[in-house]
Amino acid sequence: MTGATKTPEAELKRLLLARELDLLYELNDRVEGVEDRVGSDGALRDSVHRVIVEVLQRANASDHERIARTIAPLVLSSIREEIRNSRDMLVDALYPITGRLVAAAVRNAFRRLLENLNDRLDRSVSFDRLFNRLRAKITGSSEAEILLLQNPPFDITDLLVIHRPTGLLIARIADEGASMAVDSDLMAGMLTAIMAFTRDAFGSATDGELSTLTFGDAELHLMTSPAVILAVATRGPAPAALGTALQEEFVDLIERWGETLRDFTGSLLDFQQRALETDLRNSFRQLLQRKAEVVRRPPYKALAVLAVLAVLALGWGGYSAYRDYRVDILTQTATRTLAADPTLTGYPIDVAYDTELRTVTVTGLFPDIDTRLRAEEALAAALDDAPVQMRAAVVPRGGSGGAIAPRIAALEAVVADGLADIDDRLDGLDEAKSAILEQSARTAALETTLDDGLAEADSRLDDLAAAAVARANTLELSLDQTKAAATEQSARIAGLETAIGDPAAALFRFMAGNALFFSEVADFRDPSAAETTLSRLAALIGAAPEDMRVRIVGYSDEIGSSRANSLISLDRAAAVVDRLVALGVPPERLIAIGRGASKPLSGTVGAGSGNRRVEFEPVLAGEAVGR
Amino acid sequence: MRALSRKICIIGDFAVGKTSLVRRYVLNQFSPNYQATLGVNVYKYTDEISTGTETLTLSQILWDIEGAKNGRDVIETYLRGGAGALVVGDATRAEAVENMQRTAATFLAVQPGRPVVFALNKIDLLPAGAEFDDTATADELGGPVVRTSAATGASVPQLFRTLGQLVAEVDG
Repeated sequence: MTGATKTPEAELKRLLLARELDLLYELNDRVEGVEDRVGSDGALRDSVHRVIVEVLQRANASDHERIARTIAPLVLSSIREEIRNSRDMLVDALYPITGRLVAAAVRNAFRRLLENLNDRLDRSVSFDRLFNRLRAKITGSSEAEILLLQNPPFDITDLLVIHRPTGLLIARIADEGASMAVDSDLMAGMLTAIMAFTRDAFGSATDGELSTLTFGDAELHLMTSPAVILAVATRGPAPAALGTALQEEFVDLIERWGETLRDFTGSLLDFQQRALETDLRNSFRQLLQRKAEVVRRPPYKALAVLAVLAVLALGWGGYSAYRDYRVDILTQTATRTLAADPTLTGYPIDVAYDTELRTVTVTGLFPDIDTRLRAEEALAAALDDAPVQMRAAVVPRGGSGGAIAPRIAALEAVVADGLADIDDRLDGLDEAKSAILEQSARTAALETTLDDGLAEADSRLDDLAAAAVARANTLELSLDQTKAAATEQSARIAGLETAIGDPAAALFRFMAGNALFFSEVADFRDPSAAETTLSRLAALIGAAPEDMRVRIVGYSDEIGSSRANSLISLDRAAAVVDRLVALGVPPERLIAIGRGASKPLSGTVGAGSGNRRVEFEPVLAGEAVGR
Repeated sequence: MRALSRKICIIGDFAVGKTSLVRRYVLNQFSPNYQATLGVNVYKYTDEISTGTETLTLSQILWDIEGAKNGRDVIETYLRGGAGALVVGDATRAEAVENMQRTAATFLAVQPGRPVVFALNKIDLLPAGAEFDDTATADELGGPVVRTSAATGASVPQLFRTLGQLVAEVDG
């Protein structure tokens, strides 16, 4: 568009189309600009490269889901392809992570194994087990570990690092005991071949690996990554912790040397070889140390607990020994004391120590009550303050036929004395009655006087009332004494009546309708009433035919053990027998027995219970052997 | 002198004399009684190998691999990591070359670019006066061919050294 080409047409065109031409030039510049940016593959690449990151960032921010849907299949497909192509490399790269996971799983599995083993052991009992349990407590180990350690000694003898793809030996560390009969390279090659064969034959379905070879008590533990095999030879039963230790060492090895060993071509550079062998020697030493640490040292806590238990055991043992010694001394002393009395020779008397009541208890039969009392005194003196319980019965003694007449005479004399006594007492009773009547009259008179003077003598009322009460008490006391005397007299009367009438029937009636009641062991609940009953019973027994004998039967309530109740009831019967004998009843006519709580009258217990009693029974004809 | 250690695979059909060749080379022994190899036997033989530029000590870990039979291929796992292969055929069998070609292809599929040397074994059993065109056979197989006899020991060291040289040159 220069002046050289300027023609009239052109000038005309310029004048007419100047605006359009300017627009055309501008468009042309723009097209050239666009051409520069996207006109060729290279220009397009450069342009896209400049903005693609920003574009993706904006698109991701504004329409994340759509971008993800578009790119995800591409990314996943690439990852899959990369895994397919570089599987071994990925496995090696991931091995330190997966190895630790596997090691943790192995540790858990072993822990579960030990727990199961301990659980099973807990269900069995033997001396060896008790010994092992004690040893486990002392060492702080589990019983399963102790059992595993009792097997023959375990040792690590050889360590080989093998390049898995070629089967070439990379390094070997062995102790002096390791067998070097086979060339290390051959061993490495054969191991690799065996592993390959095993994997092809058995492992393809499970993706498993050969992990252990066993020959006799020797074992070869194999740990593998795609590039490396670590073979560790051991002798003896491997402890549970070995698997974990080996796995950890192998993970460390792969972490440090995985990259170098993956590219192994048959030999390492000298410095690499030296560094690797130094590393393996350290691993070997660590494995040996960990082997020695399988048994944990006993923790102080366990020792402290053990010491406390030992002190407690010693204390308990000492106390038990002293107690046994004391019981032995008391028993022997009591036995010697009783044996010293010649009148007891041949009588079944037993001495024992009642640990429940903490008393020396004497049971058996004594010839008579006097001997028993004498023995009780002798025991009390010999045993110092130690309590003694006499729970022995007294053997009734029989009389001879020729003694009847004197006894009848004596009985008649007693009856005569009794009658005289009754007369005296009847007189006394009459006097008492008169006194009561007189007192009643006086009281009535006093009451009348009091009533009459009440309105005018209020101030004297208290004095008069007190006087009246005092007089009444006096009268009541007098009346009680009179009643007691009357009871005694009535007993005498009953005895005389029965002596005169049918004494046997009277005794039967009395025994059937009377009993003696006790508050504590052998203490009468109402001594006065008991004395009346006993006097009357003694009289009845004395009046009854001489071949009639009475069984004195003691009972107890249900408090205490069966054995203690039996002894207490026997004591009650013996106390009654003692009193009856003291009242003149021949001991041979009495038999004392204790039936414990066998026949309760009611469900009550304690000092007020009717179950604490003594009853009377006729001894059956022909029941007793001898008299 | 530089030392190398390499895995060498000995492969071929069953009963062509692979184990006999290895035992002759390693132990200088031969047994006329046939014992099939199950899986793999591993041997080691250290030899001095001269390449065009140097002489080096080559430890050959020889994997004598169970022979393929009944149409089954050799177990490929055993071939992994092989620095070279010795493919053995029975010179008395008509299909020897074809079978050796197939076996070599199996190895090269696992270990591409590795040297392969072919051994036509049992030449002591061939009729007297038989003539061979080793060049044509080598062209057909795609690698050096050595005619051997494990029974007599003929060309056995040469066979292994040929392979050793190639291994040292390619992988050294």
